[in-house]
Amino acid sequence: MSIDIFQEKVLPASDKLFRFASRLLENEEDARDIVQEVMLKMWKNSSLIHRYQNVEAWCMQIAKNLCLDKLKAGKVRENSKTEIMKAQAVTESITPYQQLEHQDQQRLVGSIMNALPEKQKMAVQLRDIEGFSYKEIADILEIDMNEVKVNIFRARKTLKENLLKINVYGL
Amino acid sequence: MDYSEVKILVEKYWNGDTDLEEEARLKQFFEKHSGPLPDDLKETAGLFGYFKEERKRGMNDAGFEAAISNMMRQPPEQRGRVVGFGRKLWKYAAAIIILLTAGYFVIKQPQTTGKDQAALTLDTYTDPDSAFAATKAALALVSANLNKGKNGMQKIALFDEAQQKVSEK
Repeated sequence: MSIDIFQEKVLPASDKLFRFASRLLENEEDARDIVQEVMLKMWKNSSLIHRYQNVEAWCMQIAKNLCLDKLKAGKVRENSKTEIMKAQAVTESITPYQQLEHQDQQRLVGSIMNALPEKQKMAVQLRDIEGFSYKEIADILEIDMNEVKVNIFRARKTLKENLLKINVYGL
Repeated sequence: MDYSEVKILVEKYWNGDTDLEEEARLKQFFEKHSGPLPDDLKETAGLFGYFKEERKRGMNDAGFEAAISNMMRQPPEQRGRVVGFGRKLWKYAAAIIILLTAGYFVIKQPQTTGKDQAALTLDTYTDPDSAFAATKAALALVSANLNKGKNGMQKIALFDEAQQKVSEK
């Protein structure tokens, strides 16, 4: 039954979709809208779900395209200014000898990751946070596997360089 | 997993060479490890810590859940069947149009008009004797004209002979 597949495979993907959309749009409200749009599309097309081997990857692909369309159209809400200011304050005040507080650390690493180029950002989100395989990431991003590997390599290189700079300590 | 093993995996990780199983082992190591870490593992620990916290983030939105429940009360559209029928209908329509067009051209033979028919039957005879007489007359006319041409040709040959004699001298 389409409804059963929808409940078993589509609904549980909502958190992953939310995190992915938040990463791309840097905005939780817009990310929620994207998740709702994906759910609606999947519900309307639930008779087609059985055709897809990897429903979750299909949902992520739809979310990716919706996010990129939104970014192109310039319809993304502005980031909360207080969040940006907090991240800036932390960067300015840090010295190599200070251990960062947990929240600050999260914010800082998050801003480094958000500053990555789009494809690298998406590749790391899908691999390191959501645990997709390279094949699944290639399907979601509609690129080939070699390009996925290149983006992962470059992203991790940038992350390491920036982490070294701010001297992040283990949690 | 000891530090030497971890460092090998970490090196692989930064080079983008780890598979999912190796990354899972690294995640487990950093999650379970307590106490200080060697300096060269601190950046990796920090990053893995960030990823772990990120994974905990969810929608946690009662409004979203209500919206989804409401959506699921509407039956999903049976688009699959409707689209399939629509596509088949176009195929059948196209096939019928092709057959009708082909049939039209097959059935429609080129029709000769009254004028063309008259031209086709002109200069023909139904009676064999009169046909033979007409043929004989036509051939005689051709041979007479051929002989006229022959006299002209003889005069040209004489002139050509004279020219040759002049050029020899």
